[in-house]
Amino acid sequence: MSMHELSFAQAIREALDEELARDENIILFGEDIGKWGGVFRTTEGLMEKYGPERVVDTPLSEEGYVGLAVGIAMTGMHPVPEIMFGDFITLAMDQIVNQAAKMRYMTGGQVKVPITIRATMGGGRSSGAQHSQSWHAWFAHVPGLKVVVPSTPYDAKGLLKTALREPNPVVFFEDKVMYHKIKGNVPEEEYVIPFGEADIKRSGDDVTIIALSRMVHSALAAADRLAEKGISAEVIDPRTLTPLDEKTLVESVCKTGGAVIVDEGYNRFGVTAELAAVIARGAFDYLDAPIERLGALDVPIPFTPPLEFATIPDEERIVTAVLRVLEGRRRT
Amino acid sequence: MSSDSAMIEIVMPRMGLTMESGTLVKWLKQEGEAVKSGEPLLEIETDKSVVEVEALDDGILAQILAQPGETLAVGALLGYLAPQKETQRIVTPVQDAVQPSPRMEGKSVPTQIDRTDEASTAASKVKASPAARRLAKQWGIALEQIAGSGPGGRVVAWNVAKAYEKNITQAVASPLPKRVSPIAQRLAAEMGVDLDHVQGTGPLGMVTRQDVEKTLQAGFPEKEGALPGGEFLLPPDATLEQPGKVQQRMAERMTQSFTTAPHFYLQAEVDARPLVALRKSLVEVFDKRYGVHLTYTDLLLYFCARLLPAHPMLMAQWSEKGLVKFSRVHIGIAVDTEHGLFVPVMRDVHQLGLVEISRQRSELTNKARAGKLLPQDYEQGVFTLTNLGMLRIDAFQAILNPPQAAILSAGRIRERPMVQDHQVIAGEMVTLTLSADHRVLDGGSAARFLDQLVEWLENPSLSMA
Repeated sequence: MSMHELSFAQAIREALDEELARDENIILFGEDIGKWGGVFRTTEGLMEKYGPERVVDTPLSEEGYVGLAVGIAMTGMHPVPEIMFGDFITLAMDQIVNQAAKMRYMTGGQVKVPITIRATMGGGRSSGAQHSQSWHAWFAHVPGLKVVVPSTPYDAKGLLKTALREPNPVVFFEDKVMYHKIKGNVPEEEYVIPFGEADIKRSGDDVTIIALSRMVHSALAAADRLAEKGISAEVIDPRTLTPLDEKTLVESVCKTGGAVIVDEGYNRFGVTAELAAVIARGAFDYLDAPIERLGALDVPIPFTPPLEFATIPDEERIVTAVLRVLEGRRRT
Repeated sequence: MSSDSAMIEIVMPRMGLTMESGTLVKWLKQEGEAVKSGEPLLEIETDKSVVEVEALDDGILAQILAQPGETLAVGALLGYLAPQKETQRIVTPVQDAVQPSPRMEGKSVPTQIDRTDEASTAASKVKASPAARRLAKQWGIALEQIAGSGPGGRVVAWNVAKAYEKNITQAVASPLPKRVSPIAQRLAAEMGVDLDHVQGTGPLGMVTRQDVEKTLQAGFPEKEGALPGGEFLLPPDATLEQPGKVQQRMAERMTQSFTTAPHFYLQAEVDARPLVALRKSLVEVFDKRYGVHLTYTDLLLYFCARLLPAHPMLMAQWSEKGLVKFSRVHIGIAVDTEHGLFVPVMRDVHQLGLVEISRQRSELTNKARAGKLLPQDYEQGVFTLTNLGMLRIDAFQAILNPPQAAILSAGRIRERPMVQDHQVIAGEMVTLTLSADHRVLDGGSAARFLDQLVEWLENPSLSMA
């Protein structure tokens, strides 16, 4: 398989480009996505290529254009509204939660809502409390929505293409910091990645680190440092929250006996809590230490970098959490 | 009150399966003295011998409670070891405030201990991880006798494993001229290394696995091969090869079994359609929901395990002293690997659900194929199941796995013509063969087991009766 290297943003752009070419029902909506090419360059050149009727610049009105997208999805189109800063997905909450997620159910299956809502997440850019949050857990909480949280260019492209062929609403979260910093090989050939399949990013025997989105890269860096101490950490990326690949998570923890769960969302009632519950049930008799959860601290994300970084899990904290899980357990 | 540095309890160890109590001969360390894991800490006299007891952890002998001459029950508190290195812990409030025991009154107990004096609730009050509890139950080890190395003194899995190894070592230590770790013993036996020539570098000169490996790497000559001595003429065009150690052990055990246990065989053709339907109805759900791949072997294990307690003689063993009988249904599974035949043992199968049977069977066979079985994975089987169906064998008669008295062989499930209501129809059938030891079982008692098994396989809902 021949490969080419893409940044996370370029992988998103390539998926959109290929799918726009494949299916004329796909239409992009968003703020500055057309002429400007998107503030994160994920739609660069697409308006020139597919015209202003398929790549549509919208006003700053999330509820308006997400509502519009839900409506045209019900008529058979596949709209892709983009929320430039995922924080403001709150403005479109009713359209997503009460309309998009419910229509198929309430019409007894007569109406489908094939809509892919792309939203950003993540702090670490000193963007302040209203431009740094990660709200993927909210949508994973709502029946009727699928939630995708990719960590690599390869996963992002393959999962976005799956979303764009999916007959149900998908909320697709892209970490802002990864757009240009994370690069990786992507096949030249066509491929898609099915939802509900976790990926083992690194195999190991002593402890399982489950991480999402950008935290996967922190977890891999932590695993490198742990390897220097002779600790073999397995790093697993669930990739989609709903559907969730419980089997891979549970099997790994049955093997290692310990779990550290890392997510950039808030800990309280968050993704880490749900995953911990899945593991506690599935791997109970195999756990050799309490499950460790690392999420954002339960405070608004501060603007000033030293405080901002203190609220977000990082490599250092992952290493410390793993050592806590392994305390007294190793035969060394 | 809470504590952030748990003390490690030193308790009267169990030196053998029958030991109930022991007498403290003397302490080999004084209060305040540093102790290293593996160093002798005290001497205990049992009804058999005087034994040195090693420390299981590094630390400082903080307090001596039991005095020389005292006879105490297994598990009784003898003293406390303070962990030497204070590791940073998350401080959690201790729920059970502790009443000082009568033994501790009048003495200063340096830190609060999270334990209770109620012996009856001791096991449930011991802080232990779920994995440690599972292993302790599996191996029949009392948790309260194990010092925990986890945070707050929590017993974790490897403490249990260590205690298990220790029991084994102590049980076999006396007849051996030197101390050998169980893994080293197994490796030496497999690789044919003469332990007399291995220098031990472990605690008290114990031969460790690394020592055996080092000897092997140094090209130490293996024990003499098992080929008959005297003049041996190699026929022309033939080559001579030393059997591998697994093969050698197989040869010894099978010869012993086949030449000492009078074998007889019972064979039954089973209508396999209900079994096939049963597996079909479960296999996808099991894959999806539990992540285990259900096999016919799993179903056979399930039915055999539930039937065996009603047929205790199938699990009995002939010995010179008498019939050895068992109530826990530990079943061996014959596993064909590239390194040879292995028979790992699943424990208490009669208490396991089908999902857990399938999961453990898969774990054990994977371990066997990876060559990662531990000594405890082979031990204590009372019955064996062997299945060559996947290799297109229709039926076969297995040699008993000594000292067990019964082994069940399953052939392949195959479409065959069968007669039903005077009509020849296409059906699926499987042939089961039960090999039995005629010293332990007679034809009738073995046949009654097989008869009921066949009945269950042909009508699985009867197993719920």
